[in-house]
Amino acid sequence: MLRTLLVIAAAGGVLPIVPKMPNGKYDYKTLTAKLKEIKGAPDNAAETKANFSADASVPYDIVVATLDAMRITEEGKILFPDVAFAAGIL
Amino acid sequence: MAGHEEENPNVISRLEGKKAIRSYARKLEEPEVIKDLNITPMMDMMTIILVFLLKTFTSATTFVAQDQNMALAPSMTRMQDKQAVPLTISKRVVLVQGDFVAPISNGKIDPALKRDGENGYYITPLVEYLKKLSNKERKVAELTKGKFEGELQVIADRNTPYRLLAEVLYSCGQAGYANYRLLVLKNRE
Repeated sequence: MLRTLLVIAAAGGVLPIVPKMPNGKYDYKTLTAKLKEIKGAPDNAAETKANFSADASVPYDIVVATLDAMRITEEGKILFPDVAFAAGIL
Repeated sequence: MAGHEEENPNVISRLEGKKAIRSYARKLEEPEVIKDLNITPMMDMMTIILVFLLKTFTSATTFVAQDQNMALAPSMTRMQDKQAVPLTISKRVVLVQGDFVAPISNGKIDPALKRDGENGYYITPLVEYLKKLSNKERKVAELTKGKFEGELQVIADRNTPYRLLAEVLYSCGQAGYANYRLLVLKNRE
């Protein structure tokens, strides 16, 4: 999670970025949609774990909102609720 | 007919029947008096109710006083909170179980309190405090044949920078507390 965009990375590489919206807010809906797409792959169907890292200055409420977007879809489909915080800075 | 009544022992005269009815009615009029009230079952019941209520209240939503130094982050979560060691990160201090552990200035921990200085993650007083606490909890778990879960309830101010959060969580992990529950407000739309 950077100041200007969200990056989804996986073992196979880095997936397309999710830029901020024109109003300057993070695009959580697109993030959830991308993660839903990833979760939909047969290899990831049972996966619940994700690593989270953010820029040093990102505030906690943005972290919580991102974790919300990573955990569950609006329809209630479980995505990646088991989050490990990474100490390294992107 | 009379001879028939004498022959059958189950047939009684009308007079005897009336006597029997009056005697039975008298018995009914005199209710049984409770001389000794046994309150033991009632006490048992009250104790069970008391324990149930205490358990219900202790597992209810955690109370957090919010002020200018502490405002919880809103969230869409519908999960219930669970009792764990409370760790608070306000704008000015880090507290564990309400005890002061380290001061915060401008969203940062004083480098002198970190083992590796400015760029370090290891907050020495926090690790030392939690190591003592984990030793106690491990002993209690041994004695009660329970399991040491190493779980923390993180109560952080909504503006806490990620770097500070990462430093605190890293330090907690070094002391054996590797599982976190983030306390949030169930309000975000």
